[in-house]
Formats: sequence, C-alpha cells, structure tokens
Amino acid sequence: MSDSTLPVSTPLPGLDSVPKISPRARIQSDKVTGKPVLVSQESVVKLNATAADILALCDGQRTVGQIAAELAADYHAPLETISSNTSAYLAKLAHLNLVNWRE
Amino acid sequence: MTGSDHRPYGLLAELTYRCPLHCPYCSNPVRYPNGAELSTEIWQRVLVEASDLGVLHVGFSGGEPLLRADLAGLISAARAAGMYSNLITSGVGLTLERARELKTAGLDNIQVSFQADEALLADTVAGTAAHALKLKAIEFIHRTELPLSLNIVLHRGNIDRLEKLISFAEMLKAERLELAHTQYYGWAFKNLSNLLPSREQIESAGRIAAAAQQRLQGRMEVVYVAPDYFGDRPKPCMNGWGRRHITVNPVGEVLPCPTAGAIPGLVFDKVSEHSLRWIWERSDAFNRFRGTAWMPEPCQGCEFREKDFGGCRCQAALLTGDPNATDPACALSPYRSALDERVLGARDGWDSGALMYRENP
Repeated sequence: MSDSTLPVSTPLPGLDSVPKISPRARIQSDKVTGKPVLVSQESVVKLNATAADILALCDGQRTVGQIAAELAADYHAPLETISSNTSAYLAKLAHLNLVNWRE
Repeated sequence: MTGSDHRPYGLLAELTYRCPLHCPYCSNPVRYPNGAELSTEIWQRVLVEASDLGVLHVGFSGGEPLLRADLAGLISAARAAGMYSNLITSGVGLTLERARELKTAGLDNIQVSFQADEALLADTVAGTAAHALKLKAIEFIHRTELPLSLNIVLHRGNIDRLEKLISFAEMLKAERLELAHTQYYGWAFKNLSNLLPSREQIESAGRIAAAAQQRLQGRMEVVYVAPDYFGDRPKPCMNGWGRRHITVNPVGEVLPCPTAGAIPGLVFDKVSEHSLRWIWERSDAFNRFRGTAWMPEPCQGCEFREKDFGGCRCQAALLTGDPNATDPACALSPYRSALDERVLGARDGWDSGALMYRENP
C-alpha cells in the first residue's frame, strides 16, 4: 500500500513566526545509524546536524529570527544565510506537516 | 539476501481479528489462519526485536486493538524500545479512562476510522450501530489531547459525499485526514462490484481532494490514497517486498504486507518459532519477491522496475492467479484486461442490501 499526497505549495515562515514540531511527530534516535530522525505516523525524516540544531530550538517560544541568530552565533556564520536556510528548511518540514508555526 | 537497502521502518502489529464492526472492505483475511492470539509476553519480545531491526514506528491494529486488555502495556513497550506508536481503531469501546491510560503509556497518535459523515450510511457500511460510539470516542480523544487522525475508506456508497466527509473531519478537529480508496483484496474483493466507483466519480473525487489539500494546508493534513484500477502505473507496493515493512498477524505469522496471506503457496513463519530477525533475513516468504530477479517480463526490462517494484503481488495473484505476474494495475501488464473487465463489470448504483459483511473468526 502507498499513499500519495498531491502537490501543495507551502509559504515560507517569516522572521517573526514561532515554529514548533507537530504534536504528531517526535524526534528519536535511529538505532541503526545512531543519528536523530523525525518520526511521525507515516514518515521518517533523517536529520543532519544542522537540521537537528534547528528543531532543538523549535520550542514554540523562539521566533525564526531568534533561532537563526542563535545558530549564526554558534556556527560563526552570516546571519542572512542562516536565516534563509532555516526558513527554507522549516517550510520543507511544514510541507510534510511535521512543523507548523504561528505568525 | 538482505543488504542496506532492506531495512524495516514500520511494524504493523495486528493484535486481534475480533472486531465489533463488519465493514465489507475489511483488509483482514476472508479465511482466518488457525491459532490462538499471541500472548502479551510474545508481543513484548516482538516489539524489542522489531526495534533492534531498525523499526521506528509501530501501528497497533486488528480487528479492533482496543479489545486487547494489554494494549497500554504494549504501547509502553514500544515507547521504551524507542518507537513511535499509532493506534488504528474504530474507536468503539474507547472510554475516557482508557484514553488517558493510552496517553500515559506514550501513545503518539490515534487514527479513528469513520464510514461516513452521518449515522445512517455509516452504520449501514459498518454493519452495526457504531457511528454514535465513534463520536463519543472523539470527545474522549480531545479531552486527553491525543493527536487525532481520521481514516475514511472511499467507495461507491460514500464517494459522492466527499465534500461532506472533509467538512466532517474538520468539524471533528482531526489533524490528519486519510481519504483512502478501497484496496480490492479480501473482503473488498468479494464486494468489488458493489464498491468500485465509476471513472467519473474517481476524477471528481481527485479534484475535490486536491482543492481541500490546498485550502486546509497548515490546519489539517489531507492525504488522498489513489485508487488502483484507474491509473497507468501500479503503486510501489509496500515500497518493495520485504524492504521497509513487517506485519505480524494476531496468531503470530510474519508477513511482508498485511494482505500477503491471500497469495497462494506462501508459508509464513511464526514469531513463536523464530526470531523476527531470522524471519526478516531468511524466511522464504520475505525473500520470495525481494529485489528484481524474480520479475517476469515486461517488469524485468522495465525502467520503472526499481520504482514500483512490479506493483502489488496480492493484486497480481488475485487477478491473474499468478503472484509472479506484473500487477494488472500497470498499463504494460499483459493481464490489464482482467482489471478493466472488473471496472466495466461494476454496477452503477449502490445496493447496500447486496453487501457481504466481514465476519469475525
């Protein structure tokens, strides 16, 4: 059996949006690879180190702007690059209904 | 036989065949296998073994899994082993106390089936007065703050109400709605001539579902499971045989897909006799259709062979008598006419009096 989701366009979160992981999804450790994964009823998304760092800050309190600022400081990387990468990644997970945000 | 490409992510734990509902499209076998239901102890071992194999999410299903008194304990065992758990239920029999018990045990999601948006049709399809009990269950689920998915199986009896079905799911505040066309195996295959929608109904349903996905984005996830009989390409069934999924049925047989029991000539090893790892790696049933070497033409030389894996083995067996055949859902299958005849042979109206209802073992 398989299911197919028809294409839907997802908007990007703004810097003031407050993202959180969907209540239907949970971060777990993959026993086979030892790496973190975001698991829901029907999907398993492998998380690289940056993805795991972003989701760890998606606590329903911080804004996208605050998350990007913290990561930019941690990584010693340009804020604009981190901001746009963070927004794009969150939009990708929102498309899979694994993340949502309030404006 | 198993390499890195073969790693199970999902376990379907069918805890019992007993069910208060009698839906005529049930995916349970028409002829139940012999044997007693597995004990709690064996299920606990199976869950740990599944986790060790790499399984990350478990669906507890049935029959009606709420009929197992040890359900919360098994959810706890799944959680302790590091797996996500989803309960696939009719909702019938759920009390507030039971919902709290499941939530405390670590249940991640509850998926409730509905037959329709109104009681008369819903109860006709379920073969029993279940609709009102399901609505009570939804209330308990929200009071417990369990994430809610709804699953509605689509067929000729309810497909023209699709917009109402979607509004109903919104009203029930589901986070996810699965609109799943009937898969024609088992009981559904027996009832095919009465359940299969027309091509016009399918096309209209696809448009309505797509519009709802767009409209509800960010509020309710709408998943539309496409029908088998109306496309040109077969579904990539189970994402490949023995590749991503394990089903353990109520008597402990281990199957590469929930309906594989319908394939003649396959013998399923049991968790009471072997470890799950042995069965995954070595059993004949899991190795029979792994990879591409078993494939006949036109699959063998087809550019899609590692995309759709030759389609569905159960469907090939049901429609052609040969489980090795190309799935007739593929337009390239030499047996495509076997499927097209079914489409043309379906009735026009909806005759609920002619339904053959699922029976309990």
